[in-house]
Amino acid sequence: MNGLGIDRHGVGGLGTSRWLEAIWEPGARIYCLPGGLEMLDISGDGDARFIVADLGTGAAESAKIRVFKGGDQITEHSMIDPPCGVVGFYSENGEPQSALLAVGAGSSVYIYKNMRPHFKYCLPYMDAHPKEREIWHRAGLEEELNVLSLSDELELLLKELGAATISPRTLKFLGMDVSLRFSFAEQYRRIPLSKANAVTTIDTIRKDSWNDPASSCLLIGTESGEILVLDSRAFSVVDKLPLGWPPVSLLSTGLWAGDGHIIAIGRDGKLGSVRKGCALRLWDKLSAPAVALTTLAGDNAAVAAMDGTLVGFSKKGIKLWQLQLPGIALDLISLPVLQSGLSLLAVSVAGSGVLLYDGKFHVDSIKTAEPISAIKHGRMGQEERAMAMVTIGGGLNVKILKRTADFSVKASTNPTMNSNNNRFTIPKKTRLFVEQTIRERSEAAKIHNAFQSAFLRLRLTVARKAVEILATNQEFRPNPITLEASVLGLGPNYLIKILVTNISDGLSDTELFLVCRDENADIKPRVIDLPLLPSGIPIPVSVNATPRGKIPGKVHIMLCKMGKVKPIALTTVVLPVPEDDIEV
Amino acid sequence: MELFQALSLFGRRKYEECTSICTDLLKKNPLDQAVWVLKMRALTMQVYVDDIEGEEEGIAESLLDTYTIASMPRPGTSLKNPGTSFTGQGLRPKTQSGRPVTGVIRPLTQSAVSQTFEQALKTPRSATSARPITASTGRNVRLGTASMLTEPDGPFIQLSRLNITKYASQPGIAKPLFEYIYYHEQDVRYALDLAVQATQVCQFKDWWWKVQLGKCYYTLGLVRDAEQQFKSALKECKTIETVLRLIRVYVRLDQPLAALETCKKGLEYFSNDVTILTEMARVFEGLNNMPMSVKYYKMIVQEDASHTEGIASIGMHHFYNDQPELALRYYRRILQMGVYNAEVFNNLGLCCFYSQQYDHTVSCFERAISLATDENIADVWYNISHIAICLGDLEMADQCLRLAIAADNRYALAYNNLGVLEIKSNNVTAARAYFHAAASIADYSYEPHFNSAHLAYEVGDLQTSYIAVQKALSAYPDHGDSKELLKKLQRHFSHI
Repeated sequence: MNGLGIDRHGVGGLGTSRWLEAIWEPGARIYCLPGGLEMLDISGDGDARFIVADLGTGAAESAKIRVFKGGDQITEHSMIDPPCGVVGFYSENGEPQSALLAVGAGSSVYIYKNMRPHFKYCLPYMDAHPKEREIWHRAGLEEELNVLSLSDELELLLKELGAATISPRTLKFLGMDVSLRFSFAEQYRRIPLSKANAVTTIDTIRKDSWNDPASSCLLIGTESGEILVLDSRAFSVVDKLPLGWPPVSLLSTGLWAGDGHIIAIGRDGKLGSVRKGCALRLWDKLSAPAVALTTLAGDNAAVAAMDGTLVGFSKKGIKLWQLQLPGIALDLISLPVLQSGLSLLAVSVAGSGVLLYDGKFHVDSIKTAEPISAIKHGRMGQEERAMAMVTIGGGLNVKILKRTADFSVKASTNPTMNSNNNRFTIPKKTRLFVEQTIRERSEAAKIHNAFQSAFLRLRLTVARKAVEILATNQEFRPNPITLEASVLGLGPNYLIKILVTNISDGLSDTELFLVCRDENADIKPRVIDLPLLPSGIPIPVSVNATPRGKIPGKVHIMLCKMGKVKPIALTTVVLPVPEDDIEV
Repeated sequence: MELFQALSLFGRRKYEECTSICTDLLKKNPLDQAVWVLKMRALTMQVYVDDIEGEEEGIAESLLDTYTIASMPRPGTSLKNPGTSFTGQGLRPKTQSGRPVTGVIRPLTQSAVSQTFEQALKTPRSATSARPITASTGRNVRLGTASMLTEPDGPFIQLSRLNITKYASQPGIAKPLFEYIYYHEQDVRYALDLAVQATQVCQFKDWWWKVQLGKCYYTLGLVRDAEQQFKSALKECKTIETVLRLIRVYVRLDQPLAALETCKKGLEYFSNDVTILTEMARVFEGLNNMPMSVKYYKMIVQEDASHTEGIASIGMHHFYNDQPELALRYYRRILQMGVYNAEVFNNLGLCCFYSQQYDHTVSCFERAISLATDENIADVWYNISHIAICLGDLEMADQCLRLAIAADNRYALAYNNLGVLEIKSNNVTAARAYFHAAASIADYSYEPHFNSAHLAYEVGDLQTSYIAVQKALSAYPDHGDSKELLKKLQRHFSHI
């Protein structure tokens, strides 16, 4: 309710848009997910480029890194594996020329300098499962390879451990045609078994300086459940932070040399923070998998989850607030507004475009024709405050925040005010009521006696009527079958639809049939044999009825059992008088 | 002498004698226009009805209506989607046709607001009211044929042989002839033909003809043309009848705000006119704006202290607004005015019970039972079942509900309550069947939908529960329990 009130205010307070339309390129054909956008001054000439990790359209196009200048693509670089994320960083403090771009894909991190390949960091191999290693080792020692026993053993192991812990070699071997397995095993069985690791997410953390540009360390989340911290000059592993579960999104605050800590989210919604030299501290487990993680005013964090919730956490891991978005969240970024010192959140919501929040207060909405799949805010070209939005359909939309934009809506809307508006109106007790209570108190015994005796009488009347009406025409006993009839049609031919339902728990009796009786109409068919009725499922029966004259007639529908004189249940419908034909 | 006698009889409203004398006179001299007109008037007066309120919206109007443009109007601007601006205590129950209960039964409260064709075909008729309302034109024709049957030797005027152009130019004859054709013969197309030619003869200056044209257009379903005629007539001459007819046009066009505007303009000329105020109160009631509606009903009652509709509506407002002791006063007033039927006693009984005047409750219901007809006995049993439930006598409640269903086998609320009673005695299958029956009869009421959703949720059938709770929310979007259940279900589904 509160959100609605503020929403209306936000729209009302928006005389003009706070955004300038810069680029709208519906045919850009960009397909990327949250984390796949970056804005970086790659050559150090002061002109920031827009870099996209494009996943391609399935089989037709492979993944590639595309670099845009304004709305035009300038270069593209094909990737072997689909990239999981792209980040830009600097290797030296205060040197814009030292800009580097890191792309995490497969089991490697590719580093580009000035968009030329510079370095490739491969993740160390993981140890394969000892049992699996043992099997391959034995196969390597054998003189004559027995492919059948090898595949049987691996098959068993796969069933035992599941595909997630098995190395790619085994999986490929088992997935092969039986005739090809021999040559494959022969080729690889003497090579030591290894299992490749995979990059799940990539991010940076400032090394030792708050100035811009500052050198940063690379953070690489791996499938083996670790965060690797890479030095920005030598690209060697500085530190390993064990998590125990693969992170899908990382967020860093502070300096790596200082008290900086890294917030990580796992696939199952686990959320925790980790610091240099400290073990993981689990904060919370989200109700749904996370969509995106971003900073929230200062050192706090905000998470958008797949069930459409937006949660704010303090840097200590305490849940500050939670709000329900009007739709499913697709991406979440933080949007610092430098001139007013605010740090807003921009959430892309399916069906409502991009919503801007200041903390938990909704301050602005950007309506878009298509849902936005990824957003990035930063410097683009010469413009400091560009927000690039990639639509689901692959279009690129860039908007620039006006320098005069004012988001100070929060002060004027007090959420507690709105909830008090629609208070429950309770009518006052009237004087009449008070007088009546006096009478009640003074003559309580008399009123009670009169009522009780009258009620007994009424009960008797009801019981008598019930017997009279319910028992004269039908068997008076608990009736396990109900009839519900309705008349359809405009006449003179009507359709009577009867729903027969067995409301007992077991099957119904056999030899049941329906009889329709009316003096004034032709009914076809008059007698319908019923099948065995299952419990609780209404069985529809249709009867055609045509009144003979102009007098409306009651149709009695009786449920009978063979061998019984009285019907079990009876219901009545009225056939309306048909209208005269109107000559046209 | 005989003409004078006929005139005198006409003046004393003895129309049948007057007609027979005229018939004799016409046999002697068939071309006597005075007698001819007199006979026409006498025949018209016999069947003359106040047709302002006599209409019902039929299936053709409500479903095949081409005037309604916005299918999702903003809340508060349409009678079909009156919004949920409930500020009172509870929610008024709905009638069998799905409209909220009004103080009195009046035209346009019985036909249904139907969304689907099947619903439209089903609702207007139940075990008690078997009225097929296809179109209001059809209804008029049927009334007309009834009056034709009483004619002993053929129709008085053969419409097909009538020279309309000739009579249209004679204003003295044209007006009685029009009324005769419109009311007695019920042939709107001929009447329209005559009216068109007559209004041309008087160069579109006679407001009376414009009103008659509007009436004809309205009956034929040409509502926009009718609106034009009424507006043009109002420019020349302000009459209450024309104002009322224009309001009706707007109500039919589903433009309640325009109707209210017309009412306000009408009240400027005819201040505190009861009929216009009544229309206003009804439109507000249709918009679910009960405080405004009651305000106007109170104005009506100040003008006309024995206005049944006003008193009953105010009484009902108080009853559903948690002030049954005040409602009791109003219903007692109706009883004192001489209305002596089952409905009044039923309402009195309920008011007594809920305002804790227990010693009078049962006697009221006993009288209601003895006065009840086949049409309203089901309601009485249903209400007695509430008394029984309140007193904890569930067996008696069960019997009452069964009696209600026996009297009217399409009593959805009775099925619903029977289902609730079955749950209390742990018969889940029976309860489910009853809720299902109630929901299929009354798609517009949220209770059976919610109940079956709740039951399905308890049993673990989440999919059925989800479908049912959505129906409940479409019937009553603000129902808190349904919303909560939906939230629970969404949580379940998102986990899966």
